Amino acid sequence: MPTHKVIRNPNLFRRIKKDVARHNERLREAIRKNIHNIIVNENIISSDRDKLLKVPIRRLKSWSFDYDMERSEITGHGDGRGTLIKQGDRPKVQCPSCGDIFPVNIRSAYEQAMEDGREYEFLMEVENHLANCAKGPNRDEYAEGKTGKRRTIPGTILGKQQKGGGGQGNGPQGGEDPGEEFYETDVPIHEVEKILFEELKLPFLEEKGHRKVKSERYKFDDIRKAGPRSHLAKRQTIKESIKRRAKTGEKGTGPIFNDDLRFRSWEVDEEEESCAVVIAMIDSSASMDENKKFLARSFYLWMVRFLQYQYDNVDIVFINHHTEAKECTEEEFFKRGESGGTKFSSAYKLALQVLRERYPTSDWNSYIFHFSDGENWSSDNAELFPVLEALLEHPCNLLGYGEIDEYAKDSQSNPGWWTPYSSKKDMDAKFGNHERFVTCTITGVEDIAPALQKFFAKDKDTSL
Amino acid sequence: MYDFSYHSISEQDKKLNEAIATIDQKARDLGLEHIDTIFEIVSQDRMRELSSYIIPIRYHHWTFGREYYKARTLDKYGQGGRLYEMVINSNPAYAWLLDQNTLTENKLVVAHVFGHVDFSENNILYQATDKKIISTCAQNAEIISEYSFKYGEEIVERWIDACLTLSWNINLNPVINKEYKWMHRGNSEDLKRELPELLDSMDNFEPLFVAERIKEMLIMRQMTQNPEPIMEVDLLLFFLHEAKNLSKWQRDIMAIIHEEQNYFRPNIQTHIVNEGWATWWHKKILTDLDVEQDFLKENGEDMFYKFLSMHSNVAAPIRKGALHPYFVGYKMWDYMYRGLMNPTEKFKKHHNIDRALTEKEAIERMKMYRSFSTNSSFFRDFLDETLVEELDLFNFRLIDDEWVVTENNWRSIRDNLTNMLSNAGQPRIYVVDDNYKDQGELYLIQDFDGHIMDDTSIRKTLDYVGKIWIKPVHLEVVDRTNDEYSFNTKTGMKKFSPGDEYCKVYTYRGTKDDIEIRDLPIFPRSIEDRGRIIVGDTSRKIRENKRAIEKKVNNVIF
Repeated sequence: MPTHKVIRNPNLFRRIKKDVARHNERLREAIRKNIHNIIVNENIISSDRDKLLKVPIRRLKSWSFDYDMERSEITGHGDGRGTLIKQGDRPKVQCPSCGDIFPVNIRSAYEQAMEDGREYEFLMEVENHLANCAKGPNRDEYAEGKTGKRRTIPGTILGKQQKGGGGQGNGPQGGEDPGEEFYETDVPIHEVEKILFEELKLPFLEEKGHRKVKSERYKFDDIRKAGPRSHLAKRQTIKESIKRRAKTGEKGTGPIFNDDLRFRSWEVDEEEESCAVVIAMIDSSASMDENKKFLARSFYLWMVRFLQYQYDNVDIVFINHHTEAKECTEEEFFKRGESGGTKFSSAYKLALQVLRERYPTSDWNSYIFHFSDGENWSSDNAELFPVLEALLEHPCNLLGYGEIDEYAKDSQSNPGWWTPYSSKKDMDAKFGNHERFVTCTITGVEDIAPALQKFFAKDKDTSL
Repeated sequence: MYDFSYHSISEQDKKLNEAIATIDQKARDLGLEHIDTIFEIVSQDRMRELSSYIIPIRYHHWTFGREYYKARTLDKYGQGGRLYEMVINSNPAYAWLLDQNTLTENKLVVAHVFGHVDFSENNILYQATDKKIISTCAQNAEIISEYSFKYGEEIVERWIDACLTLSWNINLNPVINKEYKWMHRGNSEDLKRELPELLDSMDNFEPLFVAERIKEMLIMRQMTQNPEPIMEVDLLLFFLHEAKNLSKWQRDIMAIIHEEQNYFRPNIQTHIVNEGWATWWHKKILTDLDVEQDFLKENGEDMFYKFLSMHSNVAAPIRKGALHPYFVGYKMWDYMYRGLMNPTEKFKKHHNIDRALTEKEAIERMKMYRSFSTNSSFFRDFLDETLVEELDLFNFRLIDDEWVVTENNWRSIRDNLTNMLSNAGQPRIYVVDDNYKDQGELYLIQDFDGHIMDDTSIRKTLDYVGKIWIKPVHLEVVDRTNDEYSFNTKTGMKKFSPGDEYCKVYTYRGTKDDIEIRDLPIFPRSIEDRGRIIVGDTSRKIRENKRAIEKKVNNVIF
């Protein structure tokens, strides 16, 4: 006679903790190395922060000699939704999940089936129905009492090939090595943000203004003599007891008196933060096509996320410009804009006006970012440079200009007879030496993360 | 393990104990041959941890953390499945039940566990596994953590990484000892009469057969005249003996991974049959018990629906395309049971019976099948037209960038499944020369069975192999084929004539960036194309030492 046993053991060791920690370390490292591909993944841009993201990760796959599944024939089975190839009548039974369809009770039907000697057939039917009913397909056919075999016929398309690697549109489909492949894993978006934002900071932030916000944080690290019993700090209490006994020359622990009791408590930690305003400007002229817009949009989305993540008190002003500039809402800003020529000076003039009217230097740190494809009318420079000078003298903390130039990456695709005009060159020539004027060129999705790192460089000398 | 629950047994556990006793009795009456089983009740988190390690105490490695992270992240976002149980094939058998299981769920799970225990106790592939695997793994973990302490965690981790890449390049078809206990257990005379024939079909899974084929091929290609080339399929074992410059700790870790992988070998080779068998049995036991004694009634409430819906959750085709082992396995066993009791002419011929069997005889017959089936032999022997239609099986492949169903003819499905699942779905790589070009270079060759190997996986894995072997490594694989081939129904393998294979050789010379690839010309080839293969007497040495090695690390000195 066998003896089976049921036991319950206390779950004392957590061996897995060490392995999880090591895995997370490797995961983090891999994400950091690959961040420029990950953050421009279309899924991450268009989804909530609380969602899971399939992130292609290098270096975390365990390799072994393997077959190439894309070149082999694989066998699978259908999910019950194939084409119905035979039909007939079935006995009617009651379905437990969609109850009222059938008049006969399943229990009595089962007993009836047993008597008829076809219990297994019956159970199979119920099972098939349950499997399908939970998902909803074929319910109508089932209700009509149709039955038959469902087959998946040749030519059915099961799905699209999943391509590894981040990137969008004409972005890179993987790493630098052609042989490098990705292992996909699910990572919550906020994990990715954490890793990216660790390296970013608002530069030249100064302490100024009256509108300081006291952000309250509770720290549970204080020890007090009184408090609720549930907050008893056992270690501290025993220490106190030992101390008290030591004074009278006794050794070790002994009885604990009320005086020995210590309780954990909290402190309110008030932090003061400086105020900052960020002016985000985008060129919405005709030459900014869908892809260029996407690049600028990716950058701004990450910038906004970064600002909201890092600082509690940041105002963002959105400005949209072609030959004229106007202030707009965040929603309008990211939509495809108008058309027409380009005049940078209009945008910078508006920015200056906004700063002067609403965000006085005495109270606000100001940051200005501008994205364009650089096709500014050169006649505009005469108007533009004085405004820029005025802005730098305002003073704004940082003036960043990003030029989206898809041809810079690949000279092959650049038709020889036409060289795109670059305002960046002009601006660099004039203000290149100014420490608060930063420019960068964005050629494709892979440049977004470096651009963020350049504008919000952590190692930059800050006066705060 | 010490039983911490001795002091008080809750009402809940009492009920569970009663249920286990009832299920055990019924299972025995029906003919299941399970052994003593310990059921431990654990929390969800502990279950997740166990399912990452599979065996409670394993060595530390980040890959286990990866599994756990995956399960936990999916659970947190509501996408994870629920693990009701886990079983370890040891003696006594050990099973974990989730503490959130209701009594009805536990009834199903216990019956399911008995199915697994019976399977691993009686299936031929499990006979060679370590029945004290829990303590073996714990000892191994201790050894590896000592080494980590002594030589540095990162260094040991990197070495484990390297060994794990070869973890499926072990001998998946060890020579089968035909004197099995199930031979003596069978009562029926029919069974004994049929045995020799059945054992014949088992011969096909012995490695000798495959080795012969490659040997034939080598001679045909004029590579060697030596009648005894190395022909070692167990790369880990080969490196354990032949790799130069390995220190003792490296060999020990390699031996540990080899040993633990040998335990997992049959699990992978039989997962469809095994899960199907357990699912069929929980269904059988519980429906029978319920009909006889209202077993599924609890406090006057009929839990039959609950049971049915849970069962169909387990055995429903989840998504299109994948092969769901519970679904396929269950349907196959169920089809067989129904068929044996109510056979058509075709079925009679296929199973060599002349009349409808009684229930007892049918189960006896199924027990015989479960004793020697692996995934691939199961499909090869028992998949027929009706079943293919019932399961809605089809073949599909990648055309351009879409996965398209190409075929639903039952013969090609059977052949493809058998082929796909042979050798646990892993490529067979043979060592044929360890002194290639007289310079101690290694020459590996793929035993081609119709599947082309993945380029990236070859590059990545060669990087590790090269680090183990230190000298250059060559791997010959098939690049593309003429689509003409014949399928050998007896062995379940595609047979290609050498002229149909277009081969290429990867050569690894120290860094993963300069892996050199060269095409081999179509046959007939001259010796110069490949270089001379010199075959040492490694093969004999290995065979002599095999036994000693499999015992391994008994005398590790720290």
